[in-house]
Amino acid sequence: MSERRTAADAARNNGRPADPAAPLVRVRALMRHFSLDRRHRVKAVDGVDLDIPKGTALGLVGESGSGKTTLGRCLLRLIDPSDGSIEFEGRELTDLGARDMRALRSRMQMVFQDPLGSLDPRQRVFSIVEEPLLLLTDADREERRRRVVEMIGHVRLSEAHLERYPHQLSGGQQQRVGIARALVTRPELCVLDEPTSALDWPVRAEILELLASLRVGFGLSYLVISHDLAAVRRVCDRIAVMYMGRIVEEGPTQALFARPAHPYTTALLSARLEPEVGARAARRRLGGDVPSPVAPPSGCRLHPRCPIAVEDCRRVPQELLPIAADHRVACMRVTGDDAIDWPPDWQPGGDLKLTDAREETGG
Amino acid sequence: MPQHERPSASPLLTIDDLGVVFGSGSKSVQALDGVSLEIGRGESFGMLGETGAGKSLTAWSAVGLLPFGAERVRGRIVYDGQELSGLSETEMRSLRGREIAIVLQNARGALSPTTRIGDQMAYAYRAHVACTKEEAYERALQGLRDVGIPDPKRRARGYAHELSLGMGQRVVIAMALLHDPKLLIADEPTSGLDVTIQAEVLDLLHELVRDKGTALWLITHDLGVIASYCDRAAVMFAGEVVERCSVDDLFRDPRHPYVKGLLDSRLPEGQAERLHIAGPPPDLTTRVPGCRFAYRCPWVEQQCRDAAPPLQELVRGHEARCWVAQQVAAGERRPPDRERPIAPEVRR
Repeated sequence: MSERRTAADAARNNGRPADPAAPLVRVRALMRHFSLDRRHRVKAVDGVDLDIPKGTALGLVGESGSGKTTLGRCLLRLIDPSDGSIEFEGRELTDLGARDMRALRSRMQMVFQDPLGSLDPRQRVFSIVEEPLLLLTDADREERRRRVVEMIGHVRLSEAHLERYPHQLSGGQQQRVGIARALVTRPELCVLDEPTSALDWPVRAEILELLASLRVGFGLSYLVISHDLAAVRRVCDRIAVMYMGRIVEEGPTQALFARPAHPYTTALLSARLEPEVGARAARRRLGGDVPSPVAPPSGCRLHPRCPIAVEDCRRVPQELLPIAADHRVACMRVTGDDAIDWPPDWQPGGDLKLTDAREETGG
Repeated sequence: MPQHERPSASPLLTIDDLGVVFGSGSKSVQALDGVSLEIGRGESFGMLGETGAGKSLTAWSAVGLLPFGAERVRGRIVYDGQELSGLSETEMRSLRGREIAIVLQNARGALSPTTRIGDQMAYAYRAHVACTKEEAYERALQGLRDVGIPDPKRRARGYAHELSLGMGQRVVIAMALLHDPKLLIADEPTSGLDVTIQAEVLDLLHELVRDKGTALWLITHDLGVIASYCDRAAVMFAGEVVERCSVDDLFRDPRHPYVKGLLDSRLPEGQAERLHIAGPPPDLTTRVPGCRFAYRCPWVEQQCRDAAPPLQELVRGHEARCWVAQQVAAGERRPPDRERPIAPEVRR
């Protein structure tokens, strides 16, 4: 299986064999800062390293404003990173010109968050799905028609849907059209931004099953950006947790859900409302609110809210270090893969209140 | 746990055979059709259903806040022994906010953007209680303190836009609880919030109503919310209640095919078979003679298309609107074989 794939890769690279060990995507020290004015910048993504090996799905979780979506968009260069490196099959993307980047676009695609908002209301489904083929490939009319029809079947819509407009479709069908548009050029990487938010549960389950089967069928790699922990758990092999522009923990889905190591991951997972009676776990609450991203805390960014912070956490920025094979955590207080001791009656002291952060922003 | 008993002889709120229609003639939409439910004193009642099932409309009808174009065509709503349809608008207003309070999804939308938070809370208090402005303001500060807002004095001088989403929702909860209502209706109070904030807000809400003995009517599409915070629940589909029971029964022994499918969509790990019930939303403009879920039901039979099933009690305290519910529960019927999603063939 893997040999066949490598052969296919070699063919696509014009005979130049790809490094079989290299991940499909390799991100190093990626940064994206947004300027508010001369003195203030938001560090939306601030030094991120991650790999997406071929054929795997990485889930990127974290709360609103943690930088997940910005990271996903940087990866496809929908926005340009401020600094750092993104390699796609060993090829650096950040210094590619518009023309070279465009040539790669058919191999990396995105499914956007708002299914209806990301579809042109004045185009029929056929034109919507056909557009990437027009822009990114030299397929002729007949070939395009054939590929659109084929892809619409893969996402389990019928040819009758091709003549409809987006508003005539249900939310689940709109999302299927978004997926068909992303996959019609047969990309290797697909970034999915909140693919299931705003969907009712049965529809959400169908979309997730579809994504899982498409991934196997097409040998796709996914980056799934979501705050829906159950959804990423279902689709992804690995999970990366983001907090204030940095990845704080990264590991295999099962290990991370079974034994979250970083205090932030622990708190995040403990806040899940399991759809089971009596499944309510003890909440692990952090102190205060997320500080302003304009003036992030020094050292470890979680330290003002963290129950196990020590003096060094205030000063020393934390690196992602392995605690087990394949499982990395950015916390000096976590050494093995034992669960941390969460103080039972912990009260945050001297926490950064939201008001304080805002005043700093204003000043 | 005793709270899973059916409510005592006199429930706090009874809705009986409620029907609401939008528009008239051939274009009319039967948005609610024969909705009946009871909420006991101090209980947490969950209402579950997909978008457009009529969850919010039921709640709004109960407090006399029907949206424009909607008309109540039948049914009775009895609150604390008092029939509400006979009340004048003035009498309804004295009930709303004081006896029955509402928390909506969008906290910032629910607060005035131009009035200081303490002031708008004080207004809300003085709407129902004769007191001085200072007393009302004191009560507002106490309310903010009760929901754990740090530095309430300073926060009360601020405006709604200065609040984070979670903080805003806390203020709205504080405002709703100012008059110690007997019933609090929370309509999707946390959708759109991050998981940690959702848990914080709902934990707080749950704690407050439990301490004050307030009944909570929680409207949500999230099974996790129902499982974590409710004693009993009703599931709605296409303007009807399709199942009504304790939350334990709902999760352990669902009877209606829609509810079974809904529970199957929870994505448990290692699940082999799943009942597929996803489909287009029901068309409420045409009245079908049979069951409204028939067009998506994996168990559908001729009987279901001919006649609408009533909401019937299957075992004590557990009702479902389905002709085949008994067999479904007894395991006499297996989910019909359906085409499983197959991975597409690789062709590059």
